[in-house]
Amino acid sequence: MNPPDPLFRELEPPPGGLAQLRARIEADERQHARWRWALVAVAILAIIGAAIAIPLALRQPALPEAAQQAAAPLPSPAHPAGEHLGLSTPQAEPAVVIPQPGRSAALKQIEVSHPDVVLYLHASKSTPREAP
Amino acid sequence: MTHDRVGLDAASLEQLYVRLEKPLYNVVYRWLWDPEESQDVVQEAFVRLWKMRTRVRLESVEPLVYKIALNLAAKRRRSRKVWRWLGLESAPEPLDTRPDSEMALDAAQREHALRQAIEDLPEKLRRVVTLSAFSELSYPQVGELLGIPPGTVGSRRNKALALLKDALESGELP
Repeated sequence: MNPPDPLFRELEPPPGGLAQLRARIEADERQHARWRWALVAVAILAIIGAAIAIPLALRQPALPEAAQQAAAPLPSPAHPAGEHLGLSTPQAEPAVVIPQPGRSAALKQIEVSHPDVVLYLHASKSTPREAP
Repeated sequence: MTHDRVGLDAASLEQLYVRLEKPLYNVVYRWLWDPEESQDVVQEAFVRLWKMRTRVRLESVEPLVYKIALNLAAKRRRSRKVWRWLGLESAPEPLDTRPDSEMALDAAQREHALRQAIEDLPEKLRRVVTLSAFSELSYPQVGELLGIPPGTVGSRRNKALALLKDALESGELP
């Protein structure tokens, strides 16, 4: 204990200090509890958000239907995919002309120098009726 | 007070408050010169002590409360200076020159002069003189609180008291 100095006069603190202190501590603890619950709620929301967002982010992006069709190779055996891409030559086939009724038709292949070009000469005329 | 124990319960805190409220208030008042604000700082120190109650060593709890309160008071003084400099806080009220009697006038003038003299002390002397005048802490405890040897506490106290007495006797008082 230090000897009191007559220079200083001891003052009385304002009354009701202990009751005010109790109220402050209670208010502080209530506020602390509110913050704790708020942090728990934020953490739960973050976990739920992550549980939704992560699987969505990891999924392959789906192509629209038209893009899928365009990207798919043409499976038709009559038109192999290589033909469309210019990678293979269509099979040579004899051209056939089916004449319309009452008409006759003829087809003749004409020689050309380009190996990728096939040229036909087509002629058609009506068939003369037989005399009764 | 039980020694070498850690942790503070509500009953111990209240007992401590009842015992330390007045000396702590007197120390803090000589920093802030405002009754309500001084009480607020004293209570804030105890609220902070309550928050750290599980880590508090009971043998050193009293110097700890003084340390918290002094730091809070010093911080408020600094922010008050800044607010005043910015013009957002008014200057301290002047001395009331209409006391009820001549004795009261003398006492008020003496109190005002003492306040001015304490205000003029360097902070390290003010800490020592207010703690040694009002707290129940021993010189070694004050020294531990302020981080200085007990002998320095004594010498700073004597120097501060001499400066205060000089200021009061220099003709400023009636």
